[in-house]
Amino acid sequence: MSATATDAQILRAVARYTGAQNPSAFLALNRGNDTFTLPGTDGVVVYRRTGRYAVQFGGPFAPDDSYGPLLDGFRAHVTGQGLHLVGVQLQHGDARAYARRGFTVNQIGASWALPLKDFTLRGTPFMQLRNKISRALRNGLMIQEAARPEDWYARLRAVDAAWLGAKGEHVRELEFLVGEVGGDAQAHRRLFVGTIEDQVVAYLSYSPVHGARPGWLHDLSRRVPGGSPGLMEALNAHAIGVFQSEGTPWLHFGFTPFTGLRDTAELPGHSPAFQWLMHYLWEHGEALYPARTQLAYKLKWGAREMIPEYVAFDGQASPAAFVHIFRACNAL
Amino acid sequence: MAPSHEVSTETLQQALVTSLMRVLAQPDDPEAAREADTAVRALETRLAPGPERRR
Repeated sequence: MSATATDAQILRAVARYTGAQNPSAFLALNRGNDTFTLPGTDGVVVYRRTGRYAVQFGGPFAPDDSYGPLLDGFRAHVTGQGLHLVGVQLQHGDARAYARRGFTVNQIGASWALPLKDFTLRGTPFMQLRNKISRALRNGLMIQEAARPEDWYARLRAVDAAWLGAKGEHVRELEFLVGEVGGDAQAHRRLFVGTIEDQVVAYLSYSPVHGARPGWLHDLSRRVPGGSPGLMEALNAHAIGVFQSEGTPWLHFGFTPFTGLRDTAELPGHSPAFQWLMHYLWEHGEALYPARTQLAYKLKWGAREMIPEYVAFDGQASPAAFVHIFRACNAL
Repeated sequence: MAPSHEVSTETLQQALVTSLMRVLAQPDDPEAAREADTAVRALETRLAPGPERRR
């Protein structure tokens, strides 16, 4: 029998059980997620149900001795409900565990990270970036870290509305595998806000990352359409300066599907057909997800630490299961 | 579609893409899901290591 984990349990699990080294683990706390636990067992499985699928976020966030029982228990639970299990954003260790259990595991993309210790924006490679930042500052951009994020929520929602409105009436706000602002988890995030003449023009939220590459995850970011170039760049540069002053080792830029695909990252038993499909979507899949654009932003910061991430199908590689990942994200 | 051994790899790849598009349009359609699974299996068989196959 499963139980629902509290936010405190989820937070403890992602902060303590970092064996998988999932840079996006904090997204487990997103509102709207379902959880699966086993009585008397530490750790939690995080997922969303969509249609006939249970889309699991990462592997179990659990100590070594609970990982297997939790995964097996969740698999049985999903099967018992007549659903199909698909896991997304599994890390390499998760991928091996799922492959050993007969899942078909493929690389689905990568997350990207930047070591901050010696990072500087000096030099030719960052000249365009510096110019954009300078332009935003010359246009009057003021940046502050929100000491009380709740004081900003209404103004941030106005930015969200403007941003979403400019994308077109059929564009949906993504969930699940993207960050959030607000809720109880906000106490653990950091929020940087940009204003011009006291109007909020952009914001950037960071979530904590625990484990071997501790730091912050460049998470939810929004800006008003039009207006000054360089707003997001200036916000991130400011935040990097703050993080470096605190001795933060890493800035993570998070997961982008279809990026960083490497033959050497695939595990034995992967699906060659699905592997081909991921490469095809890297080349031609902008309408499904703007992977090239997203990666370009990360690379222009020098985020070249590439961390492969995986999808796991319980059975053969399934396009329908893959599609339901996007459905769980509210992309469809 | 002709038997898979008479079909080029590019045709099998395009069939997979087409079936994915159909599932994207109808995520809960079991027939679309089955068709896509069939396309995966056909391409899988073609791409599996083995004797020289029609490209």
